[in-house]
Amino acid sequence: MQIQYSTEQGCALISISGEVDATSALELDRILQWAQQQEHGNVLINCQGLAYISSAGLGVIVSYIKLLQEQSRKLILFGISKPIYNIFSILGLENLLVMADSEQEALALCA
Amino acid sequence: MKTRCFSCDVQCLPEIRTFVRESLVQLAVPHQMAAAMVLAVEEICTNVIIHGNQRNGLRQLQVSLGRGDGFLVVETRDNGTPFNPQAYREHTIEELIEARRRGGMGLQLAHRLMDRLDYHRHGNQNVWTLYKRIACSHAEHIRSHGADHGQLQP
Repeated sequence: MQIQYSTEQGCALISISGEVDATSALELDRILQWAQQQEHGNVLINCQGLAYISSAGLGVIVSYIKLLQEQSRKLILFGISKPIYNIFSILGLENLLVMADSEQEALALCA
Repeated sequence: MKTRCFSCDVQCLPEIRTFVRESLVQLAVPHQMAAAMVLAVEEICTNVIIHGNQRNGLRQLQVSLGRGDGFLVVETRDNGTPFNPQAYREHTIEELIEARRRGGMGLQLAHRLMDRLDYHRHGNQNVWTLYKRIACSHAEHIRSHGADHGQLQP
């Protein structure tokens, strides 16, 4: 897994690529914790390069939903491929997470 | 049947994925079905490594893969702590979000990705068996591509 983070229009932008499993999920957790500790701005996760994610990675993402909601911040995922979307939907996560097709659409949802 | 042993270390998960993927490619399993099986096997192996064997890399986890009559079958065997099905409760996603729990989705995911998931204790071994049903046309295709693979009974 490769992971990059930056800020874009006041939002934390995290780009994940490759495969997220029980080992690499720890790095994703570290970056999401950093984003959550900024205490302002929404959190965008770019999944365009995400090829695989196990429940360990999904669990990390899910664990930040409530934390960010409590700070009145949004967690938005964008660029999710069909196979990855299917995994989200198998668990019923597609209705609990905000998803966008592109970064532009995700940023528009932040406005 | 193809079999390989791995250390009970989460660092071995990429190796396990590669083994399952390559074995399914050799059996000419359609990509989407193979992707589902790789994920389901990883979920079981992650649980076995973390919960059953406390990430003890000196312990071994055996993964076997083959075809049965109308099924693809994956079996894992380890000598770790027994799984207690009676103590297991499936949490809803809403409950996991509310509790900010990171675990609890792996077994659910494996159940939903496969057609059947069995657990039993055999002597001092934990045995997980995952079944994926294959259509007749695929079964014939897989049979012709997987002549070197042994038969597993569902």
